[in-house]
Amino acid sequence: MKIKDLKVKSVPCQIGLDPADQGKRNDKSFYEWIAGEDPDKSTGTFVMWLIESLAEEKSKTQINLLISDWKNSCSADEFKIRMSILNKLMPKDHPFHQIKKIKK
Amino acid sequence: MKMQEKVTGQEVVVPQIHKPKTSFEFTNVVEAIKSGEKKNEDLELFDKIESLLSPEQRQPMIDYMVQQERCTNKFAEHFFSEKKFRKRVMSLNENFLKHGEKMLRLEEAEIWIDLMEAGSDDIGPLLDTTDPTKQFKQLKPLDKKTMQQNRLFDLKNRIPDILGVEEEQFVHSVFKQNFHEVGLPYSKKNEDWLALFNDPERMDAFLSLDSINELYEQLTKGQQLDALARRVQLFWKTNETGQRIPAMHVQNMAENPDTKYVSEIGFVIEKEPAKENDPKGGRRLLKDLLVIVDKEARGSSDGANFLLGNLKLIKKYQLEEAEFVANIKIGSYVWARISDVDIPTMAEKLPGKTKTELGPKPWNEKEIRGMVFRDMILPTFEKNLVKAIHSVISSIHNPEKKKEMQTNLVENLMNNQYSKLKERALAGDLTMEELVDLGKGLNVCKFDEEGDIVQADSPNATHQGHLGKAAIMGVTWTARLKLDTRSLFGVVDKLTKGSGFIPFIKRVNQKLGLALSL
Repeated sequence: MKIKDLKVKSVPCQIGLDPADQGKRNDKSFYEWIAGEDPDKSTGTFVMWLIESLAEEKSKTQINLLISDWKNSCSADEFKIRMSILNKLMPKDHPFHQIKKIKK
Repeated sequence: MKMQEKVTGQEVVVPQIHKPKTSFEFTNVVEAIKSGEKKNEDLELFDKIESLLSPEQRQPMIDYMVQQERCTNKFAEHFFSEKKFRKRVMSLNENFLKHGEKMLRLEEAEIWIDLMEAGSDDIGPLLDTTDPTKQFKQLKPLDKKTMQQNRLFDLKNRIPDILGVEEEQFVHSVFKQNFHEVGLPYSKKNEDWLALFNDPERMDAFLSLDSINELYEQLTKGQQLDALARRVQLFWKTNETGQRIPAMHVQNMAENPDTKYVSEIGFVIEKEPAKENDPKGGRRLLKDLLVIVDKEARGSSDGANFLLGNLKLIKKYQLEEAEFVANIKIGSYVWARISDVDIPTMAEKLPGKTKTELGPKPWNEKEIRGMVFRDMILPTFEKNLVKAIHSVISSIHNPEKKKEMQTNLVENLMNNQYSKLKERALAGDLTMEELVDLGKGLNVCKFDEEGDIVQADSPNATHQGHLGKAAIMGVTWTARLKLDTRSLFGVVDKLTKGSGFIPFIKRVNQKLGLALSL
């Protein structure tokens, strides 16, 4: 056998393993820490972060695609509210404001 | 020197005027670039006259870059032919140096330029964002020596996971030989390694051995041992299909001074080769994620901020996709809800005889999906199903209830529903989410803190879940996520299935909710 011929497998991602627990393979408490004491609030925080990210999106195509995704995936009421949120939170010169008129 | 005029006819001493250099040493030019020495004479001269050099004059310097700095010919020629490109290489070196990550070879600049867009040429945010001491205040940075030792220890501990039995034995024989070379005994124990680590001279000698360098490169798929003290390592990686691709390994560590536990944040960014007919070129991929945060260092409610803080790397470095190899108990179910199986990546790892079965490429997507499920997912899934069902039924003592559960779990879920799912899986028609949803709503399986299935009546049973969740644990599979904003909104939709995300926004901030008239 030669060093160059060694077949090396991929290591699974190691997420949250507590260094104190050698030989153990998971850390459920890490996932729970990420989710926080109020997982719904954490999800909401993530959504707000994404909305901020969206404010920096310059591509009309991408925004169009996103709005189409939403139209197909959520209820009419939810869609209306999402459009209203973007309307209020997207900067004045954001491509969303040009698209929204067409998307009604 | 002062001007001295002699009264007699003797020689006048003339002040020494500084004469500019008329020749430069290219080796000095290269070292100056790596050391960020803008005022270096050789470099300044080189920069001035470079465009006047003939191909014959340039060739030895190109050869030097290829042989000593391990650049490709293409890169070296470009370095000489375009001043703007040269400036980019120099700025990169300055940037790395400024952040304490001096490049060892110009090869690293080439790899970075191959890997990243010009707008990302700054490792500052990368180092800051992944620095555990910035995020967890009680942690302290590790000194270089400790970091090197931890890295080697990590690698050594990983060996049983990444090598087969024969290969592992071979590697130990290599270690034994090399320990012997530096005058130390070797019996695979941690004590042997600690003896090496505690002896700086022997450690240096060990790290210079050819076979140790070769072994490190092989086990890490391309990383170089002389960069062991660096937090950012750029290397050429040989991927699954034997192609050479640019890659960067980031590994940041910090220690809890009270407990000595080492927290780590690390990952690899690589650029996949472009697929046929894909004008965009290869994807910039995040993978091999390693996130260990000392329990004591974690605040109770800053996990989400920690995650979001790291997600900003996506935009900074234009990361397009992320690959996760899940072999984690609870995590596996979460991933199955967010992402489907990455079939092409897993297909490369199918057993040889299955690949023979599939015949020559290009492979049919549905067919390989069927094979991936058949050979790589379902075997362990089924074993776990049996174990989970047994753990529930055997803990029920009331005969009527036992019978009821048996009917439910065995006859209905296992023999009926799972059979149908399996048929679809083998036909290449099943998603991961559909598989793990087996038995959803019936949370009869019990797990302990580690996410291991336990008897339903066990005192260690701290969590519960349905059959599919229990069965997917421990199955090694590769998931892939797109990281653009639109795709991440898709992830949220999956996580909040049915509810939409408005209710969650309201939870974040009452005022915000009111302001948005929600």
